[in-house]
Amino acid sequence: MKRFLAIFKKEFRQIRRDPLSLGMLLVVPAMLLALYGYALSFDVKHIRVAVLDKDNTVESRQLLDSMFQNPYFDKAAILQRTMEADAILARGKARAVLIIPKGYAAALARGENVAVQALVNAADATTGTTAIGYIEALADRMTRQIRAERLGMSATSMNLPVVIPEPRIWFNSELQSAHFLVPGLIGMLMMLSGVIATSLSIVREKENETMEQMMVSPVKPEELILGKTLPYVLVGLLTMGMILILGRILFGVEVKGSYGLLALTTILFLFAALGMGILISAVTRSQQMAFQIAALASMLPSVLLSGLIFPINNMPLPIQAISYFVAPRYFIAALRGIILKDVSAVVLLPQWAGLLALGILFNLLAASRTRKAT
Amino acid sequence: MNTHYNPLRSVFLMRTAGLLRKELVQIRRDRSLFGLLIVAPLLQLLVLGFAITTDVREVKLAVRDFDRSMQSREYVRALSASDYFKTTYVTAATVDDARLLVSGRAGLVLVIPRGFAASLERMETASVQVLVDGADVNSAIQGLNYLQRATRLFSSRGIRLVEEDIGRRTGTGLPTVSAECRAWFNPGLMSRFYMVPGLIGVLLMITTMVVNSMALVKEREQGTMEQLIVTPLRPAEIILGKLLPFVVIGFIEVTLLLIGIKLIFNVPLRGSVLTLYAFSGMFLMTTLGLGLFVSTVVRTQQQAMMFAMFFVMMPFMLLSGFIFPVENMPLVIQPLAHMIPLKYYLTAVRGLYLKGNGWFELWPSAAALLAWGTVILTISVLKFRKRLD
Repeated sequence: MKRFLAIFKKEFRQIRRDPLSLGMLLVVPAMLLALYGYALSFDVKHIRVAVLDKDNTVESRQLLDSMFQNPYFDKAAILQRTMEADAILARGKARAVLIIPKGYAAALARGENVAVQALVNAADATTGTTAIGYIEALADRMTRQIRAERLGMSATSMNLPVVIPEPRIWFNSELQSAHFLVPGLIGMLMMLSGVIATSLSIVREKENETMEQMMVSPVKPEELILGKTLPYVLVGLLTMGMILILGRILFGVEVKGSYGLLALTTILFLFAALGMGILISAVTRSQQMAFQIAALASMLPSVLLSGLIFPINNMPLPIQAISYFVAPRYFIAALRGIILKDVSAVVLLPQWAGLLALGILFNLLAASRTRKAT
Repeated sequence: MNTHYNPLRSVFLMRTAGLLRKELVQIRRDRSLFGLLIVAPLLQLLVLGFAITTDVREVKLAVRDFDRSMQSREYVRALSASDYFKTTYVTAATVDDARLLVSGRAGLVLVIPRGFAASLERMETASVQVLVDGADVNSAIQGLNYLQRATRLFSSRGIRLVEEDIGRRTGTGLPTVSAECRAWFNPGLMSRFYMVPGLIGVLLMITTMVVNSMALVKEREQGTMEQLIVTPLRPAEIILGKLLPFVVIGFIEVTLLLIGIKLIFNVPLRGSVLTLYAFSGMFLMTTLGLGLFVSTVVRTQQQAMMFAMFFVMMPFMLLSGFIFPVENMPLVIQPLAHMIPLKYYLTAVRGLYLKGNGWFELWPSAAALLAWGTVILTISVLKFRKRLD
């Protein structure tokens, strides 16, 4: 216990001596949350559409008006020839080109079907699919409107056998991306600061050749690791507090569940995340290498494999299996549950079990690697 | 030019070559680092390439059918016709909807009320209730969109019959406007075709920036910087020697990733490979310049790591359009996104892969990358020189 305290004190003194790093660990994650929470969203709006109106009649202009009154579409350009469509899509000046064929108005007058053509840049499949959906809905609305006019009644009072879905959205009634993203971003940022804090700690002593001194002292590897980790658990809890306060002030994301569960989850997560950092530090020989591994093992997976953006159950099974080793996966799921849904402890049990298992695994591996190094 | 022997130039070349050899030997000696630089990106490509699909498939749709009529079953069948929803019927009494949503066993719950079929037969509007898990916004928006689209299709059959009937009676022809949408550049709407080439940029950035951002500060921490300074090498030569190995590693990596993308993911490259290499070279200028810059402003390797992760790599990944399109960002943020070199590289790589772009379409990106690279390298060299004095 005394030996552990000595290490603990030494680490604290070292942290204090580098106030820049400490300040960055505490403040920067909160700053970045503000930036990303504001910048990122899943909503697709302002799709830039170029228009080629070959008909140029009152009816065709009516279609265009109805399109650009909509906040989803912005007029990017008016084209004169079909040839221009290719170029404007290839250069990315417009995401879609709407072509109204010659004879559009005449066909409508005859009561026939008429197809407007939409060329949609679907390179980005998600945005492309959404754009196609919007354009189809626009055509559908237009049909309703024209037919209603033709039949001399308003579209709403028409007696039709329509099925209307009435959505009731739970947990996030306005479907704000921020509410979904903020808990995920918290998980990602905490992972990064945790790994940054610890992944260099042992390898630095190796590079500076102070590791030998540590090894000839009667300190056991477990005590060394615990002493190096615990100060950062405290730092991590402080960071978490700052992030939550900012998330609430800026994005109105309130914690619906209990703070006790939140604190417990955070401690379990820090145990796993810091353990991973220590493990990286224990197996590498240079700080450059530690950074390289940390960047590849923590930064990319905590964004791409954690469920932050891409739903894990959409991934192929082998990849899902790998994601079980990504600590933020459990943390983010638990955070969303606690912050948005006020889930009970029972629902959180699998996440806690995952974090605890990873924590024990990483820390034990780190301890055994440190022992071998002696 | 070859006829004139230029002693200064050959000295410069010799020194730089010497330094280059030292750096390569150093990287090779740390054999695990070398392996990591080459192998890790391929592994990452393999894992992440399969992970990052934005296609929301198999949304779990729980159906509570209080009507139990032919129409209601037909409606549900229409919804589950594609592989979009994974439908399960739940019996009314046993499970409550809240539990389904909270536990994540269902993403959407569809409630069909009693009298659904009767309303439709009376030519009236029938409402169904859809409970959505808004905590998962992405799936919720897409799931709801799809449900509305499928419902519209289901309704339109009935509507058309009625309208045509009215039209026949009143003697007016009823026109239809339909949209014929063509998905350009990616007809199969595969998100993989867009995301996987994007990984080249992110992985290249990480491998070349990480080690480099610690390079100079490492020599300083270990006190070997003095030895370098007392050699007759000029600062520009020292820097060139530091950067060149990573140019080599960078190009090896691009080659491996190109092969991997072709063989594993079968994403066709429609543009020219040479253009892609040229862009990679320009992009390397910016990442190496940035790494060097970080190395000159920090005091310890830990600070270098923090700085590179928090202020360079993370923002680059999230704000460059790698995942979230720049046009969807708030207008205040967009200028910031336009300052990120990775954005221009991604535009070029994706343009080459999906659109078959050439220099004519891509020159603005090339200009941006070249300007960025030149500025950041100049600043870094100047800063480095200043710290030497």
